[in-house]
Order: sequence, then C-alpha cells, then structure tokens
Amino acid sequence: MKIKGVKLIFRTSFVTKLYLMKNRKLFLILFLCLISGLGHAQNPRLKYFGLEAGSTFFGGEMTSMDFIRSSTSSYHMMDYSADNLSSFSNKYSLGLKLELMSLNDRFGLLSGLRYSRISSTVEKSDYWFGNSDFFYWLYRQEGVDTEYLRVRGFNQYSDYLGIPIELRYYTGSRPRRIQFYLKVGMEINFLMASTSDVDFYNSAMSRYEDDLTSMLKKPKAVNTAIYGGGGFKFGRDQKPSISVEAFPYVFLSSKHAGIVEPSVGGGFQVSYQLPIKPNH
Amino acid sequence: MKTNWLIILGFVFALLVSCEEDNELRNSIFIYDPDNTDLPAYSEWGYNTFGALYDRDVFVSNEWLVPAKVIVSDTGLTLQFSGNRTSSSYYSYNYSEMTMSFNLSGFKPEHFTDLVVFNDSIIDLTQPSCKVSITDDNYDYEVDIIEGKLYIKRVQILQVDKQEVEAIVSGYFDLKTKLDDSPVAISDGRFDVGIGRENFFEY
Repeated sequence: MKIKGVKLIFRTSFVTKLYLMKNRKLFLILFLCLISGLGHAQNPRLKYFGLEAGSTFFGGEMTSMDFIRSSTSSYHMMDYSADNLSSFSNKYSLGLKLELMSLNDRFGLLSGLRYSRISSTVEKSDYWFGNSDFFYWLYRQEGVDTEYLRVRGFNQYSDYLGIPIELRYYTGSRPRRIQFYLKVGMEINFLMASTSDVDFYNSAMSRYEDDLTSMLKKPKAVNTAIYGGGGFKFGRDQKPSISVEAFPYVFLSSKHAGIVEPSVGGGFQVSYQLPIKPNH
Repeated sequence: MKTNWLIILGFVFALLVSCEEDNELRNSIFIYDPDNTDLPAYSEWGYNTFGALYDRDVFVSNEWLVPAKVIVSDTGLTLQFSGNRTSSSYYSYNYSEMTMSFNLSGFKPEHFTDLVVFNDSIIDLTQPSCKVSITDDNYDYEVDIIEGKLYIKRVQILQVDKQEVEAIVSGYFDLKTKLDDSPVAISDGRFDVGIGRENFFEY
C-alpha cells in the first residue's frame, strides 16, 4: 500500500514536472508537508474519489481594443482612460479528483481533471451620465469611408481542461463528522475552445457578428493559477462526504486572456467524495 | 382610454430613445492630450472637440456650445469653431466665449458628404481667398494673417449601422495674426468634429 501511494505521488509530480521550474518553492512546501504526514503512523492510507463543482469571480481589466470609440470624456473620468465600459469574468468548473490521505490523516493530496469555462463580458455601463446603452465599434475604414456599428456588449467563452494539484490540511484528525481544513492548490489549464458573441444595438447588424468577433483577441493556449483557502468536510468516517470551501484565486500567467484580463478573484467549490475501500 | 395612455407613453418612450441615439454622436468626448494637458488629444473619431493655444491662453471646445459648424453662402464655405478662451494663473482666472471662423471662398458644397474634397489638404491662410475672423467675448476682431495654415488631414464619411450620418473632419491649424494691431499666435490647433445635417448650413 505504501509503495502504491508513493507511486501516485511521483506520477502526479511528473505531470507537473515543467511547472516545478517556476514554482519550485511552493511544490517543495507541499511535498514536505505531505512527507511529514506520511512518516507517522502505520494505519492504512485512505483514498477518496470525488466530483467537484465550483465558481470563481474575477476582477480584471478590458484588454486594449483600438476599434472601440470612447464614449465618455475625460472631463468626467478625470483621467486618460476615457472609456466607460465595464468588464468582468467568471469561471465555472466541473471536475473529477482523487484524494490520497497521509498516514496521519492530516494531509490530503488531491489531483485529477477539471473542465472549466471562463466567461468574459464587456458592456456599456455608463448610465450615470444619462448616455445610451451602446458604444461604437469601428467596423471598417477604407479611404474616406468609415463604418461604425452600435454594440451593447460582447462576450467570450473559453473552455479549458485543467490539471489541479491541491493539498489539504485537516485541523483535526478523524473520525469527526465535520472537519475544517485549509488548502493550497495550483492548476494548469489547456485551452480547448473559445467562442465569442456580440450583442448589437440594431439586431439587423448581427450578420456582421463573425467579422467583429474575428477582431477580438483570443486567449492563450495555456494558463496557470494558484489558490488557497479553507473549507468544511461533512460526513462520517470512511463514508461519502461533502466538502464546501472558499478560496482566493490568482492567475500566475500574464496576458493570457482574451477580451478581459482577469487577475485576482475569489470563488467557492462544492465536492462530493466517496471513499475507496482498500484491498486487504 | 387606457389604450390612449399607452399610445402616448409609447410615443414618449420612442421619442426619448430617439433623442438618446441622436445625441450620442453629437456629444463632445474630450480626451486630454498627455503631452499638452490643456488641449484635447488629436483624434479622428469625431469626438467633437478642438483646441489651440492662444498665446498663453487656451481656446478649446466646451460641452454647451456646438463646437463646429459649416456654413455655405455666397462668400464660400466657412468652417466655424466655437468654444471658450481661458487663461488661468495663481492669482486670476479669465474666461470668455470665442469663435474662430475660416472662410474659404470658391467652395460651395451642397451636402456634408461633399466635404471629402478637403481630405488631406493644406490651406495656406495667407491666400486672398482665405479669411479668418475671431469673435471674442462678443467683440469682432479684424484679423490680418501674418502666416498660417489649416491642414485638413482627414475627412471620413461616417456610416453607423449602414446609415450615413455625418462627415468626420479632423486636422490641425496654426496661425500668427494681428488683432487690433497686436500680434497674436494661435498654435498647436487640432480639431476632430462631426459635420452632419444639424451643423451644416447652406443659405
């Protein structure tokens, strides 16, 4: 059993081998914590298979788009940004994870596969000054002919398949029906697909949607992030359990996103875990 | 009776929406020039702004006067900029409304789209066919141009949602003149204005 557990740890480390170069310190801490837990008792090591669902909300800035006409004066804004478009991103995820407990049941190492969708939106938000709810998008400029299209907003949806690696620290040892835990984690996400749509002020202009979305910046193929937080695990010992957790979320990759560059966010996650019975 | 009220409300709503649409392009979007923070940055978006240094004062568009008008009459075409002249220092602040007009004889466009003939053209203001007049604080000044030019860098015929709405006229101006025998320099002038049905006049 012990050998199998060690093998699993090494496989997980292999998957993130490239990552270790950049985040060596974090991995070292995770690894030492885990090892310290592994060396203690001789009880059989617990494993859990789990399903998770979560949501994360980000703050971020709209990426530079020189085809959008400003619609607020810097008279009002008192700076040079001169736009009144709001932008925001959120992420929804579903995943399958395996948790391997340390022998003293204080640490859990989790990894698996996570599908996530980042939805980014840019829209007119300047109702404050009584302006309209659209902005002008420079669609075409040829010679002396210039065309704007009126747009209320636009969205981008990016689908990723990611590999999370998390370490949980349970503040109390089992058996307990409610356990509080702290966790740190990181994930690497690979872009699978990205689509965009535009909300036109004049719906007759929607035939130009493809032309406009082709002007939008596409997200990069890979992004990475770290997160940490705390949560509660509800369930009887070695029985199915539910975990609820909240965490701050920070992207490590810069300039990875498409229309909105998310930076820091916060989220929550719910997971359902089933114990895997050990083979005796 | 209820139906009548609904029709009236619908009409008022439609009117409000249409006003909102019309006003959007007529608004002035004043984005300060980071290199010359009293003036608007040069742009070609039809932001309806202009600005120039008037010796050490500033002549700029504002939010309540129509910044530019094109007037076509027997004397030719007049491009008129209206705004305010301000001077400020630590101990005083002066403000006056000011209009500067460039009259170009020989041009008689019938429609604002005809302004494209000026695309990328430099007009020497010392030519006899050009006249510049200034009204400052309701006082009309005789203007003798010593040197100066009006550079209409770009004229764009703008369509919004496939409807022709205005001509965007963008460029620069610079001139030295005598106002009541006193030399004045109007420098670093730049403009980006939309000329549409509401500010194109022909009589």
